[in-house]
Amino acid sequence: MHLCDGVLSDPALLIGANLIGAATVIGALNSAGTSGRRGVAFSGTLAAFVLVAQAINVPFVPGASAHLIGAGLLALCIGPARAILALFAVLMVQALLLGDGGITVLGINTLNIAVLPVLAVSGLRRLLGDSRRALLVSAFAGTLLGNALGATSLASLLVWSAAAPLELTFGWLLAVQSLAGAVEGVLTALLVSQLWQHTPELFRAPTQRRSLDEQFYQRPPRAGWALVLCVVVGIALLPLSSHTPDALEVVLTRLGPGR
Amino acid sequence: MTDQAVVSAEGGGLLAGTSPSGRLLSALILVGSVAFLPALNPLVLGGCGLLLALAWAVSRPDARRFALRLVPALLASAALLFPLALAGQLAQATALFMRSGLAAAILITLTAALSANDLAPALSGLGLPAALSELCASALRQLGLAREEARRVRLARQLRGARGMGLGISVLAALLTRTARRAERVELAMRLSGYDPARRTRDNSALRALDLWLLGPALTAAVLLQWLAGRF
Repeated sequence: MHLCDGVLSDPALLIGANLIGAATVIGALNSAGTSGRRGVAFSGTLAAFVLVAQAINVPFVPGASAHLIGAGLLALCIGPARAILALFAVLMVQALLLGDGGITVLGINTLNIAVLPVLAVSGLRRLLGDSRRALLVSAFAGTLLGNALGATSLASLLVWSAAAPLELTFGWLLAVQSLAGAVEGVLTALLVSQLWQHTPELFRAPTQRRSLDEQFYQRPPRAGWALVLCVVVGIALLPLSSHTPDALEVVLTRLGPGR
Repeated sequence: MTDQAVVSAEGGGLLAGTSPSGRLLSALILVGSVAFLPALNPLVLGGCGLLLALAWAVSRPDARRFALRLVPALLASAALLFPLALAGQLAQATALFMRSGLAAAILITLTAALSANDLAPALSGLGLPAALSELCASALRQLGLAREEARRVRLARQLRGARGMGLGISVLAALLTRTARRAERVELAMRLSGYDPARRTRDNSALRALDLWLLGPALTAAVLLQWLAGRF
Protein backbone atom coordinates (compact mmCIF):
# COMPACT_ATOMS: atom_id res chain seq x y z
CA MET A 1 0.00 0.00 0.00
CA HIS A 2 3.05 2.25 -0.20
CA LEU A 3 2.45 5.19 -2.49
CA CYS A 4 5.42 6.09 -4.70
CA ASP A 5 6.78 9.43 -5.83
CA GLY A 6 5.38 10.76 -9.05
CA VAL A 7 2.00 9.02 -9.04
CA LEU A 8 0.08 11.96 -7.59
CA SER A 9 0.59 15.34 -9.18
CA ASP A 10 -1.80 17.79 -7.58
CA PRO A 11 0.35 20.09 -5.39
CA ALA A 12 -2.51 21.35 -3.22
CA LEU A 13 -3.70 17.83 -2.53
CA LEU A 14 -0.19 16.60 -1.85
CA ILE A 15 0.57 19.46 0.52
CA GLY A 16 -2.75 19.10 2.29
CA ALA A 17 -2.53 15.37 2.76
CA ASN A 18 1.14 15.50 3.79
CA LEU A 19 0.31 18.23 6.31
CA ILE A 20 -2.33 16.03 7.88
CA GLY A 21 0.16 13.19 8.15
CA ALA A 22 2.82 15.50 9.59
CA ALA A 23 0.37 16.96 12.05
CA THR A 24 -0.47 13.54 13.37
CA VAL A 25 3.19 12.69 13.84
CA ILE A 26 3.69 15.96 15.74
CA GLY A 27 0.71 15.16 17.89
CA ALA A 28 2.00 11.67 18.53
CA LEU A 29 5.41 13.12 19.45
CA ASN A 30 3.81 15.43 21.99
CA SER A 31 1.83 12.60 23.42
CA ALA A 32 4.55 9.98 23.62
CA GLY A 33 7.22 12.15 25.18
CA THR A 34 10.84 12.22 24.08
CA SER A 35 12.55 10.57 27.01
CA GLY A 36 12.40 7.05 28.37
CA ARG A 37 15.19 4.75 27.26
CA ARG A 38 13.10 1.63 27.76
CA GLY A 39 10.43 3.08 25.58
CA VAL A 40 12.84 3.79 22.72
CA ALA A 41 14.48 0.35 22.93
CA PHE A 42 11.19 -1.52 22.85
CA SER A 43 9.69 0.74 20.20
CA GLY A 44 12.83 0.32 18.14
CA THR A 45 12.62 -3.47 18.47
CA LEU A 46 9.02 -3.51 17.34
CA ALA A 47 9.87 -1.13 14.51
CA ALA A 48 12.67 -3.49 13.41
CA PHE A 49 10.24 -6.42 13.35
CA VAL A 50 7.74 -4.39 11.36
CA LEU A 51 10.51 -3.38 8.96
CA VAL A 52 11.21 -7.04 8.27
CA ALA A 53 7.53 -7.95 8.07
CA GLN A 54 6.79 -5.18 5.57
CA ALA A 55 9.74 -6.22 3.42
CA ILE A 56 8.17 -9.60 2.75
CA ASN A 57 5.82 -9.20 -0.19
CA VAL A 58 3.59 -12.17 -0.79
CA PRO A 59 1.85 -12.62 -4.17
CA PHE A 60 -1.76 -12.37 -3.13
CA VAL A 61 -4.03 -12.14 -6.11
CA PRO A 62 -3.14 -12.01 -9.79
CA GLY A 63 -1.48 -8.64 -10.34
CA ALA A 64 -0.92 -7.74 -6.74
CA SER A 65 1.15 -8.65 -3.76
CA ALA A 66 0.53 -7.77 -0.15
CA HIS A 67 2.58 -7.35 2.95
CA LEU A 68 1.94 -7.05 6.65
CA ILE A 69 1.66 -3.56 8.09
CA GLY A 70 2.18 -4.29 11.78
CA ALA A 71 0.07 -1.39 13.02
CA GLY A 72 -2.13 -3.64 15.13
CA LEU A 73 0.72 -5.19 17.05
CA LEU A 74 2.40 -1.84 17.62
CA ALA A 75 -0.78 -0.13 18.76
CA LEU A 76 -1.59 -2.84 21.28
CA CYS A 77 1.95 -3.16 22.65
CA ILE A 78 3.16 0.42 22.91
CA GLY A 79 0.05 2.56 22.57
CA PRO A 80 -1.18 4.65 19.64
CA ALA A 81 1.22 7.57 19.96
CA ARG A 82 4.42 5.54 20.00
CA ALA A 83 2.99 3.17 17.39
CA ILE A 84 2.50 6.06 14.97
CA LEU A 85 6.04 7.29 15.63
CA ALA A 86 7.50 3.82 15.17
CA LEU A 87 5.64 3.30 11.91
CA PHE A 88 6.71 6.75 10.71
CA ALA A 89 10.31 5.79 11.42
CA VAL A 90 9.79 2.55 9.49
CA LEU A 91 8.32 4.41 6.52
CA MET A 92 11.21 6.85 6.52
CA VAL A 93 13.80 4.07 6.61
CA GLN A 94 11.97 2.27 3.83
CA ALA A 95 11.75 5.38 1.66
CA LEU A 96 15.35 6.46 2.15
CA LEU A 97 17.27 3.20 2.46
CA LEU A 98 15.14 0.63 0.70
CA GLY A 99 13.40 2.66 -2.02
CA ASP A 100 10.03 1.41 -0.81
CA GLY A 101 7.47 4.20 -0.87
CA GLY A 102 7.99 7.79 -1.92
CA ILE A 103 9.64 10.55 0.06
CA THR A 104 7.46 13.37 -1.31
CA VAL A 105 4.39 11.44 -0.18
CA LEU A 106 5.71 10.39 3.23
CA GLY A 107 2.91 12.22 5.01
CA ILE A 108 0.31 10.46 2.89
CA ASN A 109 1.88 7.06 3.51
CA THR A 110 1.98 7.88 7.22
CA LEU A 111 -1.71 8.65 7.11
CA ASN A 112 -2.64 5.46 5.23
CA ILE A 113 -0.24 2.98 6.78
CA ALA A 114 0.35 4.36 10.27
CA VAL A 115 -2.35 6.72 11.47
CA LEU A 116 -5.58 5.16 10.22
CA PRO A 117 -4.71 1.52 11.07
CA VAL A 118 -3.33 2.46 14.51
CA LEU A 119 -6.38 4.57 15.34
CA ALA A 120 -8.70 1.77 14.22
CA VAL A 121 -7.04 -0.75 16.53
CA SER A 122 -6.71 1.68 19.43
CA GLY A 123 -10.28 2.85 19.03
CA LEU A 124 -11.58 -0.69 19.19
CA ARG A 125 -9.41 -1.43 22.20
CA ARG A 126 -10.82 1.60 23.97
CA LEU A 127 -14.34 0.40 23.22
CA LEU A 128 -13.84 -3.24 24.12
CA GLY A 129 -11.45 -2.99 27.04
CA ASP A 130 -8.24 -4.72 28.07
CA SER A 131 -9.32 -8.28 28.73
CA ARG A 132 -7.63 -11.04 26.76
CA ARG A 133 -10.66 -11.68 24.58
CA ALA A 134 -11.15 -7.98 23.94
CA LEU A 135 -7.51 -7.63 22.89
CA LEU A 136 -7.81 -10.51 20.47
CA VAL A 137 -10.95 -9.05 18.93
CA SER A 138 -9.30 -5.63 18.73
CA ALA A 139 -6.28 -7.20 17.08
CA PHE A 140 -8.29 -8.97 14.40
CA ALA A 141 -11.11 -6.53 13.74
CA GLY A 142 -8.97 -3.44 14.23
CA THR A 143 -6.34 -4.65 11.78
CA LEU A 144 -8.99 -5.50 9.21
CA LEU A 145 -10.74 -2.17 9.67
CA GLY A 146 -7.46 -0.24 9.66
CA ASN A 147 -6.33 -1.83 6.40
CA ALA A 148 -9.69 -1.04 4.82
CA LEU A 149 -9.53 2.58 5.99
CA GLY A 150 -6.01 2.99 4.66
CA ALA A 151 -7.02 1.51 1.32
CA THR A 152 -10.04 3.81 1.15
CA SER A 153 -7.85 6.83 1.80
CA LEU A 154 -5.32 5.76 -0.83
CA ALA A 155 -8.03 5.02 -3.38
CA SER A 156 -9.62 8.43 -2.75
CA LEU A 157 -6.32 10.16 -3.40
CA LEU A 158 -5.71 8.18 -6.59
CA VAL A 159 -9.19 8.95 -7.89
CA TRP A 160 -8.99 12.62 -7.00
CA SER A 161 -5.47 13.36 -8.16
CA ALA A 162 -4.55 10.76 -10.76
CA ALA A 163 -8.05 10.55 -12.28
CA ALA A 164 -8.11 6.83 -11.67
CA PRO A 165 -11.48 5.14 -12.39
CA LEU A 166 -13.60 5.26 -9.25
CA GLU A 167 -15.18 1.82 -9.06
CA LEU A 168 -12.14 -0.05 -10.29
CA THR A 169 -9.68 1.69 -7.97
CA PHE A 170 -11.83 1.41 -4.88
CA GLY A 171 -12.80 -2.15 -5.70
CA TRP A 172 -9.25 -3.21 -6.44
CA LEU A 173 -7.51 -1.58 -3.48
CA LEU A 174 -10.25 -2.28 -0.95
CA ALA A 175 -10.56 -5.92 -1.96
CA VAL A 176 -6.83 -6.67 -1.88
CA GLN A 177 -6.13 -4.73 1.31
CA SER A 178 -9.16 -6.07 3.16
CA LEU A 179 -8.13 -9.59 2.32
CA ALA A 180 -4.58 -8.84 3.44
CA GLY A 181 -5.99 -7.18 6.54
CA ALA A 182 -7.99 -10.27 7.44
CA VAL A 183 -4.90 -12.47 7.17
CA GLU A 184 -2.81 -10.00 9.12
CA GLY A 185 -5.58 -9.69 11.71
CA VAL A 186 -5.47 -13.42 12.35
CA LEU A 187 -1.67 -13.38 12.62
CA THR A 188 -1.75 -10.37 14.94
CA ALA A 189 -4.36 -11.97 17.16
CA LEU A 190 -2.31 -15.16 17.40
CA LEU A 191 0.84 -13.22 18.24
CA VAL A 192 -1.00 -11.12 20.83
CA SER A 193 -2.34 -14.31 22.37
CA GLN A 194 1.17 -15.71 22.70
CA LEU A 195 2.54 -12.46 24.11
CA TRP A 196 -0.33 -12.28 26.59
CA GLN A 197 0.61 -15.75 27.77
CA HIS A 198 4.28 -14.95 28.36
CA THR A 199 4.42 -11.20 29.04
CA PRO A 200 0.95 -9.96 29.96
CA GLU A 201 2.39 -6.75 31.44
CA LEU A 202 2.83 -5.51 27.88
CA PHE A 203 -0.89 -4.98 27.58
CA ARG A 204 -1.68 -3.54 30.97
CA ALA A 205 -3.63 -0.31 31.11
CA PRO A 206 -1.53 2.85 31.53
CA THR A 207 -2.30 3.32 35.22
CA GLN A 208 -1.12 -0.18 35.97
CA ARG A 209 2.04 0.17 33.89
CA ARG A 210 3.43 3.26 35.48
CA SER A 211 5.61 1.26 37.83
CA LEU A 212 7.19 -0.56 34.89
CA ASP A 213 7.93 2.39 32.66
CA GLU A 214 6.73 5.77 33.73
CA GLN A 215 7.85 7.36 30.51
CA PHE A 216 5.76 5.13 28.29
CA TYR A 217 2.38 6.61 28.82
CA GLN A 218 1.82 10.27 29.44
CA ARG A 219 -1.31 12.01 30.57
CA PRO A 220 -3.71 12.70 27.71
CA PRO A 221 -2.20 15.00 25.10
CA ARG A 222 -2.61 18.62 25.92
CA ALA A 223 -2.63 21.63 23.72
CA GLY A 224 -1.92 20.02 20.37
CA TRP A 225 -2.96 23.30 18.82
CA ALA A 226 -0.24 22.79 16.25
CA LEU A 227 -1.96 19.54 15.38
CA VAL A 228 -5.33 21.20 15.10
CA LEU A 229 -3.90 24.01 13.00
CA CYS A 230 -2.14 21.65 10.62
CA VAL A 231 -5.25 19.55 10.16
CA VAL A 232 -7.38 22.63 9.54
CA VAL A 233 -4.88 24.00 7.00
CA GLY A 234 -4.62 20.59 5.38
CA ILE A 235 -8.37 20.22 5.04
CA ALA A 236 -8.72 23.83 3.89
CA LEU A 237 -6.25 23.19 1.10
CA LEU A 238 -7.98 20.07 -0.16
CA PRO A 239 -10.87 21.85 -1.94
CA LEU A 240 -8.32 24.04 -3.72
CA SER A 241 -6.96 21.04 -5.52
CA SER A 242 -7.93 21.20 -9.12
CA HIS A 243 -10.19 18.67 -10.73
CA THR A 244 -9.06 19.70 -14.17
CA PRO A 245 -6.33 17.57 -15.63
CA ASP A 246 -2.79 18.81 -15.26
CA ALA A 247 -0.44 19.50 -18.19
CA LEU A 248 0.76 15.93 -18.33
CA GLU A 249 -2.75 14.61 -18.56
CA VAL A 250 -3.78 17.21 -21.17
CA VAL A 251 -0.86 16.15 -23.36
CA LEU A 252 -1.74 12.50 -22.91
CA THR A 253 -5.39 13.15 -23.72
CA ARG A 254 -4.40 14.91 -26.91
CA LEU A 255 -2.12 12.07 -27.86
CA GLY A 256 -5.12 9.83 -27.69
CA PRO A 257 -5.83 6.66 -25.73
CA GLY A 258 -3.89 3.48 -26.15
CA ARG A 259 -0.74 5.19 -27.45
CA MET B 1 37.65 12.17 16.34
CA THR B 2 37.46 8.42 15.83
CA ASP B 3 33.72 8.03 16.06
CA GLN B 4 32.53 5.34 13.71
CA ALA B 5 29.73 7.55 12.58
CA VAL B 6 32.20 10.16 11.37
CA VAL B 7 34.12 7.61 9.36
CA SER B 8 31.00 6.33 7.67
CA ALA B 9 29.55 9.78 7.19
CA GLU B 10 32.46 11.18 5.26
CA GLY B 11 31.77 9.22 2.11
CA GLY B 12 34.37 8.71 -0.55
CA GLY B 13 35.47 10.15 -3.83
CA LEU B 14 33.34 13.05 -5.03
CA LEU B 15 31.35 13.02 -1.80
CA ALA B 16 34.35 13.39 0.46
CA GLY B 17 33.82 16.13 3.02
CA THR B 18 30.09 16.44 2.50
CA SER B 19 27.72 15.80 5.36
CA PRO B 20 25.00 13.11 5.35
CA SER B 21 22.44 15.90 5.67
CA GLY B 22 23.78 17.60 2.57
CA ARG B 23 23.65 14.38 0.57
CA LEU B 24 20.14 13.64 1.75
CA LEU B 25 18.89 17.17 1.07
CA SER B 26 20.27 17.20 -2.47
CA ALA B 27 18.59 13.83 -3.08
CA LEU B 28 15.28 15.19 -1.79
CA ILE B 29 15.51 18.28 -4.00
CA LEU B 30 16.11 16.23 -7.13
CA VAL B 31 13.49 13.60 -6.37
CA GLY B 32 10.94 16.29 -5.57
CA SER B 33 11.61 17.94 -8.90
CA VAL B 34 11.25 14.70 -10.88
CA ALA B 35 8.14 13.64 -8.97
CA PHE B 36 6.40 16.91 -9.88
CA LEU B 37 7.34 17.04 -13.56
CA PRO B 38 4.29 18.31 -15.45
CA ALA B 39 5.29 16.71 -18.74
CA LEU B 40 7.62 14.01 -20.04
CA ASN B 41 8.82 15.24 -23.42
CA PRO B 42 12.02 13.82 -24.97
CA LEU B 43 14.09 16.73 -23.61
CA VAL B 44 12.92 16.07 -20.09
CA LEU B 45 13.54 12.35 -20.44
CA GLY B 46 17.01 13.07 -21.71
CA GLY B 47 17.59 15.43 -18.81
CA CYS B 48 16.45 12.81 -16.34
CA GLY B 49 18.70 10.23 -17.97
CA LEU B 50 21.67 12.58 -17.72
CA LEU B 51 20.79 13.31 -14.11
CA LEU B 52 20.65 9.61 -13.34
CA ALA B 53 24.03 9.06 -15.00
CA LEU B 54 25.59 11.90 -13.01
CA ALA B 55 24.05 10.62 -9.80
CA TRP B 56 25.45 7.18 -10.57
CA ALA B 57 28.91 8.62 -11.16
CA VAL B 58 28.79 10.51 -7.87
CA SER B 59 27.26 7.83 -5.65
CA ARG B 60 28.65 4.73 -7.37
CA PRO B 61 25.97 2.36 -6.06
CA ASP B 62 26.28 -1.39 -6.21
CA ALA B 63 24.39 -2.49 -9.34
CA ARG B 64 22.88 -5.58 -7.74
CA ARG B 65 21.60 -3.70 -4.69
CA PHE B 66 20.29 -0.96 -6.96
CA ALA B 67 18.30 -3.52 -8.95
CA LEU B 68 17.06 -5.23 -5.77
CA ARG B 69 15.63 -1.92 -4.59
CA LEU B 70 14.38 -0.58 -7.90
CA VAL B 71 12.43 -3.62 -9.05
CA PRO B 72 10.07 -3.77 -6.03
CA ALA B 73 9.54 0.00 -6.28
CA LEU B 74 8.56 -0.36 -9.94
CA LEU B 75 6.27 -3.29 -9.15
CA ALA B 76 4.58 -1.26 -6.41
CA SER B 77 3.97 1.62 -8.86
CA ALA B 78 2.65 -0.80 -11.44
CA ALA B 79 0.23 -2.32 -8.93
CA LEU B 80 -1.13 1.12 -7.97
CA LEU B 81 -1.59 2.13 -11.62
CA PHE B 82 -3.11 -1.19 -12.61
CA PRO B 83 -6.69 0.14 -12.37
CA LEU B 84 -5.85 2.93 -14.81
CA ALA B 85 -4.46 0.46 -17.29
CA LEU B 86 -7.48 -1.81 -16.84
CA ALA B 87 -9.81 1.10 -17.54
CA GLY B 88 -8.08 1.77 -20.85
CA GLN B 89 -6.10 4.81 -19.71
CA LEU B 90 -2.89 3.15 -20.75
CA ALA B 91 -1.10 6.29 -21.89
CA GLN B 92 -1.73 8.05 -18.61
CA ALA B 93 -0.75 4.98 -16.62
CA THR B 94 2.46 4.69 -18.63
CA ALA B 95 3.36 8.34 -18.15
CA LEU B 96 2.75 8.19 -14.41
CA PHE B 97 4.67 4.93 -14.20
CA MET B 98 7.65 6.47 -16.00
CA ARG B 99 7.63 9.52 -13.76
CA SER B 100 7.37 7.40 -10.66
CA GLY B 101 10.08 5.03 -11.90
CA LEU B 102 12.47 7.88 -12.66
CA ALA B 103 11.92 9.40 -9.23
CA ALA B 104 12.52 6.03 -7.56
CA ALA B 105 15.68 5.37 -9.64
CA ILE B 106 17.16 8.75 -8.77
CA LEU B 107 16.31 8.44 -5.07
CA ILE B 108 17.77 4.93 -4.85
CA THR B 109 20.93 6.00 -6.68
CA LEU B 110 21.53 9.04 -4.54
CA THR B 111 20.74 7.38 -1.21
CA ALA B 112 23.18 4.57 -2.02
CA ALA B 113 25.81 6.92 -0.62
CA LEU B 114 23.90 7.02 2.66
CA SER B 115 24.64 4.13 4.99
CA ALA B 116 22.37 2.94 7.81
CA ASN B 117 24.72 4.69 10.28
CA ASP B 118 24.35 7.96 8.40
CA LEU B 119 20.57 8.06 8.31
CA ALA B 120 19.81 9.24 11.84
CA PRO B 121 22.46 12.01 11.81
CA ALA B 122 21.32 13.09 8.35
CA LEU B 123 17.71 13.37 9.49
CA SER B 124 18.69 15.23 12.66
CA GLY B 125 20.80 17.62 10.64
CA LEU B 126 17.77 18.45 8.54
CA GLY B 127 15.72 19.34 11.57
CA LEU B 128 13.85 16.16 12.35
CA PRO B 129 13.16 15.90 16.10
CA ALA B 130 15.83 13.91 17.92
CA ALA B 131 13.24 11.42 19.19
CA LEU B 132 12.33 10.41 15.65
CA SER B 133 15.87 10.15 14.34
CA GLU B 134 16.82 8.17 17.44
CA LEU B 135 13.89 5.83 16.80
CA CYS B 136 15.16 5.26 13.24
CA ALA B 137 18.64 4.54 14.55
CA SER B 138 17.25 2.21 17.21
CA ALA B 139 15.16 0.28 14.68
CA LEU B 140 18.19 -0.24 12.43
CA ARG B 141 20.31 -1.27 15.43
CA GLN B 142 17.71 -3.79 16.61
CA LEU B 143 17.69 -5.46 13.19
CA GLY B 144 21.14 -6.82 13.94
CA LEU B 145 20.11 -7.87 17.44
CA ALA B 146 17.01 -9.60 16.11
CA ARG B 147 19.13 -11.53 13.62
CA GLU B 148 21.46 -12.74 16.38
CA GLU B 149 18.60 -13.70 18.65
CA ALA B 150 16.93 -15.58 15.79
CA ARG B 151 20.15 -17.52 15.27
CA ARG B 152 20.26 -18.40 19.01
CA VAL B 153 16.62 -19.43 19.06
CA ARG B 154 17.12 -21.61 16.00
CA LEU B 155 20.21 -23.24 17.52
CA ALA B 156 18.40 -23.87 20.80
CA ARG B 157 15.51 -25.49 18.93
CA GLN B 158 17.86 -27.70 16.91
CA LEU B 159 19.70 -28.82 20.04
CA ARG B 160 16.36 -29.78 21.57
CA GLY B 161 15.46 -31.84 18.55
CA ALA B 162 12.99 -29.50 16.87
CA ARG B 163 12.79 -29.60 13.10
CA GLY B 164 11.92 -27.05 10.52
CA MET B 165 12.50 -23.31 10.22
CA GLY B 166 10.76 -22.45 13.46
CA LEU B 167 8.58 -19.74 12.03
CA GLY B 168 5.66 -20.50 14.32
CA ILE B 169 3.83 -17.83 16.24
CA SER B 170 5.21 -18.98 19.59
CA VAL B 171 8.76 -18.76 18.29
CA LEU B 172 8.06 -15.30 16.90
CA ALA B 173 6.66 -14.13 20.22
CA ALA B 174 9.67 -15.50 22.07
CA LEU B 175 11.99 -13.84 19.57
CA LEU B 176 10.24 -10.51 20.02
CA THR B 177 10.44 -10.51 23.81
CA ARG B 178 14.04 -11.76 23.90
CA THR B 179 15.16 -9.17 21.35
CA ALA B 180 13.36 -6.40 23.21
CA ARG B 181 14.95 -7.33 26.53
CA ARG B 182 18.38 -7.56 24.95
CA ALA B 183 17.82 -4.23 23.22
CA GLU B 184 17.02 -2.59 26.55
CA ARG B 185 20.21 -3.97 28.08
CA VAL B 186 22.26 -2.82 25.10
CA GLU B 187 20.76 0.66 25.19
CA LEU B 188 21.41 0.93 28.92
CA ALA B 189 25.00 -0.21 28.45
CA MET B 190 25.50 2.33 25.67
CA ARG B 191 24.17 5.13 27.82
CA LEU B 192 26.34 4.11 30.75
CA SER B 193 29.35 4.12 28.43
CA GLY B 194 28.68 7.70 27.49
CA TYR B 195 26.67 7.31 24.30
CA ASP B 196 24.73 10.46 23.67
CA PRO B 197 22.76 10.57 20.42
CA ALA B 198 22.28 14.33 20.69
CA ARG B 199 26.05 14.95 20.79
CA ARG B 200 26.64 12.54 17.95
CA THR B 201 24.22 14.30 15.67
CA ARG B 202 25.44 17.77 16.63
CA ASP B 203 29.01 16.87 15.80
CA ASN B 204 28.52 15.04 12.54
CA SER B 205 25.32 15.94 10.89
CA ALA B 206 24.99 19.68 10.47
CA LEU B 207 25.16 21.06 6.94
CA ARG B 208 28.65 22.17 5.95
CA ALA B 209 30.04 24.66 3.49
CA LEU B 210 31.21 21.80 1.27
CA ASP B 211 27.59 20.70 0.87
CA LEU B 212 27.05 23.72 -1.35
CA TRP B 213 28.77 22.00 -4.24
CA LEU B 214 26.06 19.31 -3.99
CA LEU B 215 23.11 21.53 -3.20
CA GLY B 216 23.88 24.18 -5.81
CA PRO B 217 23.93 21.82 -8.79
CA ALA B 218 20.97 19.90 -7.37
CA LEU B 219 18.84 23.04 -7.18
CA THR B 220 19.98 24.13 -10.65
CA ALA B 221 19.17 20.74 -12.13
CA ALA B 222 15.78 20.71 -10.41
CA VAL B 223 14.84 24.12 -11.81
CA LEU B 224 16.17 23.23 -15.26
CA LEU B 225 14.10 20.05 -15.38
CA GLN B 226 10.96 21.95 -14.45
CA TRP B 227 11.73 24.53 -17.13
CA LEU B 228 12.29 21.87 -19.76
CA ALA B 229 8.98 20.33 -18.78
CA GLY B 230 7.22 23.63 -19.34
CA ARG B 231 6.50 24.59 -15.75
CA PHE B 232 7.68 28.22 -16.24
